[in-house]
Amino acid sequence: MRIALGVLCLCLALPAVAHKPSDSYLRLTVSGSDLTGRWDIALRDLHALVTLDVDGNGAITWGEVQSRETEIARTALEGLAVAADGRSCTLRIAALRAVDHVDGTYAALDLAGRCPTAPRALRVDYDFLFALDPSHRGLLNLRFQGSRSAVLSPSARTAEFERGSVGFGRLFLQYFREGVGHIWKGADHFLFLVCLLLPAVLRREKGEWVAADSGWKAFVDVTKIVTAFTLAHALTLTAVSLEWLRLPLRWVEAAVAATILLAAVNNLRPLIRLERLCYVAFGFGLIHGVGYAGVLGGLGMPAAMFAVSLLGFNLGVEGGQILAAALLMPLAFSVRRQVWYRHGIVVPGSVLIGLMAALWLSLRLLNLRLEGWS
Amino acid sequence: MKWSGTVIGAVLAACAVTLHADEPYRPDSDEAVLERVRPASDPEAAALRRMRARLRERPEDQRLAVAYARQALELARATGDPRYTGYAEAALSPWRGLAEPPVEVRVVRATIAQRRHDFQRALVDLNAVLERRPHHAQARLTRAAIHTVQARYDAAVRDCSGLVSRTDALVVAACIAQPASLSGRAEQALDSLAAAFASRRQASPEIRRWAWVTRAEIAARLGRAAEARSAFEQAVDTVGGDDVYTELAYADFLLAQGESSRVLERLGDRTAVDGALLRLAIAEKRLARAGVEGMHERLASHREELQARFQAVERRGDPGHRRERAMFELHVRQRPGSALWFARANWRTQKEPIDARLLLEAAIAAERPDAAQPVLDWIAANGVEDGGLHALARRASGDRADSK
Repeated sequence: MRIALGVLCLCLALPAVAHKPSDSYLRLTVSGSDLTGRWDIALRDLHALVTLDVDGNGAITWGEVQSRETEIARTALEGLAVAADGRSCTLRIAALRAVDHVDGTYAALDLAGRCPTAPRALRVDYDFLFALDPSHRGLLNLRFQGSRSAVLSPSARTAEFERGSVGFGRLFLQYFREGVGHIWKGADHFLFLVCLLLPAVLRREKGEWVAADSGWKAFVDVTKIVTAFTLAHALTLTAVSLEWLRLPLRWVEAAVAATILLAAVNNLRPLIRLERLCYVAFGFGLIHGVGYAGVLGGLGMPAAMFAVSLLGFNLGVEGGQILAAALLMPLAFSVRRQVWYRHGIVVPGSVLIGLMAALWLSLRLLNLRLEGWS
Repeated sequence: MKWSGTVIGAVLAACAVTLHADEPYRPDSDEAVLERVRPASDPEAAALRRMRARLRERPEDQRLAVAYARQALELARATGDPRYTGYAEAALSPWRGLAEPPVEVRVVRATIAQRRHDFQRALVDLNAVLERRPHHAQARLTRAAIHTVQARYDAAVRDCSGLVSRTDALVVAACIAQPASLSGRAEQALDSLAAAFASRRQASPEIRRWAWVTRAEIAARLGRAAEARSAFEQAVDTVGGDDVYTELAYADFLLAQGESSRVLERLGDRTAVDGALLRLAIAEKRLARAGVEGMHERLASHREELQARFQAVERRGDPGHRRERAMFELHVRQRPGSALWFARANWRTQKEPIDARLLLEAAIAAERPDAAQPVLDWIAANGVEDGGLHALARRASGDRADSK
């Protein structure tokens, strides 16, 4: 026996075999002081507790389940307690039906209850099945002024909720910061923005840069450009993160370099009319958005978490851009009349950026990488 | 301005909710069968219930608890139902808080941890047991297995060698063969395995089956398809009923050989088992691509089924199943980005050839050849002999050199 078990241990190329471990799905809704809900418990689990297969033939029938309804209700309710602001709520099983889940048929227990008051703080105590199977999990979905969820386990048998607290806040913030960081750490995007923004406080007159007169107009122009760029890359960023859009990275990066080159050159020799600039920014934004592929790590997260992360990241990127613009623009605006701004910053700056972009473009087209320069 | 992200987010969130809104129903007839369980007459299930009842009266009885846990683990292995592993864990709860539980309790606890791929925890127990009882055969075997999975091949071989003359010679040979074959001694491993087979014709069916699978896998890595095939055939024909793990290992081989129809034949009615459903779906995808009739519909329903199962596991918060998830994302859903994420996470805990192949394929498909570096390092550092892996590795380094 010992050897056999040892041998079994050695079958370690263990693929995930059948089913997952035991779960129950507990849905609760709090409206005022009333509780409603439904608790789905696997028939296999109930059978281990109260013997549902009454005739022992290996088949649990609907008739057998109904005949054990009282025991089922009693066993279930022994493992669940809800309290509102520290005082117990009553809970009862209103009806028993069947429901199918991925790993078998469950008993669907309709819950009804009442709390002494409309709660500000709700507490769920869960102790179902853990004594028999510590790998059991209670998957709680609570509607209590918004949707919350919790996974109840032997080491987390209690879940507490305050009215109005946010579930996904921290995740959102994390990805928001990631987004901001991407603008500031990603040389490409930052330089592209700089290229677009530097001349925004100027305007062309006879082929020459001249200080813009109206601060308001400059501000509006900048806003239009940044908005167009933002909208566009939010679209493609989302598409790429959801893997609806897949483009070879090499060409995308080359295209990004090309957009920077164009933007830089445009600062030196007008290629794009100012009115058209937001459309161009939109087009370039589409390209830049694809470049963010892989940041969110694919769909490694549950859908709702992923949505929050995506939203956070998008907003973070935009936040980063707005921050960049907010820092640069007032400075640029205040020195726009200075000759050294036009000839010392905008022009040489654009030349420098243009050269870098050209270098990137050639490297990426030729599929080369220089350490530290790509 | 930011509506795109918000809209997508709202849609996704709505999907997440509706996906789990299965509708309850009242069956039409009392005779309707809702679920199948082991009948009361089933000896193993009956034994388990008896033991559980006795254990309830005397929960601190160590021998009883260990016997019950072992029985539960055997059922877990045979049925593939992880609930039984949970039952085994419950039996050990009187000793949960102890710093120094009894030896047998620790060994069972380590087995449970290993089943759940919590290798670090398993090693803590096994190291402690082997320090006090260096000749505990099962502890050595289990630790050797963990060392092999985590690519500590010399340590694995040392542990296996410690079993010589304490267990069946075939067990020792198979134990050593696996890590040896991954650290540059594949030929010798096959030879000694063949010799052990010849000399131990009376070994138990489980041992023989497992030794055949080991031989088959090593031969496959060395490119000896015919030898691998015949070894797999021997394994599945071994007396003792069918063994799900053997079937899956054989299926992986058949898929690598491009024999998708055979996979369909062998696994067609095993859809209850996640791993089997996955290989089935991969085979169906290939056949669909080759234009075989009717595959698209089968594939579509299996893909949905697998998706639902993976999501159910995710909801629990279990980190497991990363290897299978990566295979699913790569070969069935064709999402290299996601596949790469899971493959990398998987590689952090386990480093078997199948995991290496997965990471290489995902990195190549996702055009992130730099992500394949850990596998390239593993191959180089250990002298892994596997033609298929070498070819993939060349592609990955080639892609990398291209972008340098």
